[in-house]
Amino acid sequence: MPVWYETLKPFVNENKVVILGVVQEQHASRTRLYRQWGKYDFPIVQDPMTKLGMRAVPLIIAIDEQGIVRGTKLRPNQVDSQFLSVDYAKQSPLNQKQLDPEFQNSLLIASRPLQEVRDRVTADPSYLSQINLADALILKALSDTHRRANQAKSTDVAEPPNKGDNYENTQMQQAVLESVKQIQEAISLYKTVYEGSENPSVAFRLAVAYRMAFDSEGAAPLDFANASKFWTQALSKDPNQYIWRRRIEQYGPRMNKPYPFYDWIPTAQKEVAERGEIPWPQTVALTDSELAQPARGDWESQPMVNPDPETRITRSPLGIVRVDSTMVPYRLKPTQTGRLHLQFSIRRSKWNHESEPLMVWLEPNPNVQLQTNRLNPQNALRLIATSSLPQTVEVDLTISKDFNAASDGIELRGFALFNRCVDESGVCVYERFDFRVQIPVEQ
Amino acid sequence: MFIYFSIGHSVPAVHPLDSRSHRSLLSAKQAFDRRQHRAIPFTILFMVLLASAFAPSDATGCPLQTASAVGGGELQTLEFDYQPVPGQAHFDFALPDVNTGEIRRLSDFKGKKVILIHFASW
Repeated sequence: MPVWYETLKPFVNENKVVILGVVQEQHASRTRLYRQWGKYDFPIVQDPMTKLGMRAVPLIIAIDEQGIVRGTKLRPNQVDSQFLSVDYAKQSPLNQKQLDPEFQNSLLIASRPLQEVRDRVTADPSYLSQINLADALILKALSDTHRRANQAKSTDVAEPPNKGDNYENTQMQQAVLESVKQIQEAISLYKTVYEGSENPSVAFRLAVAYRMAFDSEGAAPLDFANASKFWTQALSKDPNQYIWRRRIEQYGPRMNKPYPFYDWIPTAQKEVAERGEIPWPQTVALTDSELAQPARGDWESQPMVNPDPETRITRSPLGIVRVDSTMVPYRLKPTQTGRLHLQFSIRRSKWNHESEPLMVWLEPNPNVQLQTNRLNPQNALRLIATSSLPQTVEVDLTISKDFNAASDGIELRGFALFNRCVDESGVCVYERFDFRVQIPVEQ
Repeated sequence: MFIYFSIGHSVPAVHPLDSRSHRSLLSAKQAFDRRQHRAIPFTILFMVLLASAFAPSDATGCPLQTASAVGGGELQTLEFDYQPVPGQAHFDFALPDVNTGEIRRLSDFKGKKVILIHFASW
């Protein structure tokens, strides 16, 4: 990207060419920071569902004034002589292949009024019409979310709206809730079509929508687990889809990572701040797995000591803390390694970050080799004195080769230790929350 | 949970050349020649019957719409590999701008040369 940008910038300034970026990532806040960091001033659009059919990146396409593709394998040093300096208007017209109108309509669905797309489903409730409506809803929700983030940035609000924030602006609150409704409706449509078609592209879209729901105000306990489940199903049906594979690896174990996905973000934040700018905030917090370095070869479990073997720490009252687990990939085979994400949510009180942070202990299990038994949230980008935001811990684990149970999976037991502020009066307690999670295992 | 379409029982295939009553009325040579002429259509018919024998069917022997057949046709549009061909028009598309949220179309840039960069920040 930097080489292409530096090459093209003089020609952009001379009005000889425009650059349009297309990014396939789930979270636009990562791209916004990347764009700011590199001082890239060209527009970038987001295609998180791989609607354009992109299977691998990067790919550079040269397109002439009439929309005709003129090069797909150009190098930066050839772009002037072989593309920009060529006068295509003098060339004879080409025989054009007719584009499937349904396909073209599908790719332009984001530009259609939502009601028009809805009416089409009423008139023709085909699978394709339903997918078009679901895509339109997702792209509308994305568009509105990006717009809100931009408004927050342009008005110098230190933080754009985040999951868990209290919205004083009722209008914004309504808009946020409208986006939640759109995502939920899209999930319902994708599910209906996927149950009837088992189409891998629909599975991938469904997973993207579930992850958006997980990142939204309307998050439900299984949203991330469902995202992992349908990403995994999509990839198993089309294992050569490189972009889909990367999406799973983003949240997957270190053993399967080709590289650290977003380890550039702390550097970018620092360098942008040093320039005197406010770095684009990460509206969806980075997870440990997105920052983790790849691991190669066998890792050895680190022996740890149970911090509360006799259960002496007082247990938290029921209904205060909840844990939601997600395995990536969704279901493991014996000897396979995956990454377990445990998200702890708190109700009617707040985590106290001022003293000892949340600590999670996983009991040893003969069917699972855990990278470590003792876990802490590594990523604390929003560390403040108290907060009610969910906290996540992650660990790589490998299913034992001897595991051969008839059950659906392996039950892992553990507990979390944390400081909790009971109310606004400042009364805080140190408590323990015991939990069990199921690791889905393929027989 | 997912609804999986069940695969119905198969229809037994009947080989058309098994009808021996015709053969007994013809000489060996005639029968051979006729078989030669019939070979192609019979082969096609045999393949069709064979295919139907293994195709999912309901209790009446009518083909069922399998899971893939139901959505397969109309959802083929989604099974698209992005492979732009030099000399052909690039399809138009509309996607949200990551910064402004504005829906941008490739055709917004018609009349200008465009370098389209597909990338990821990782």
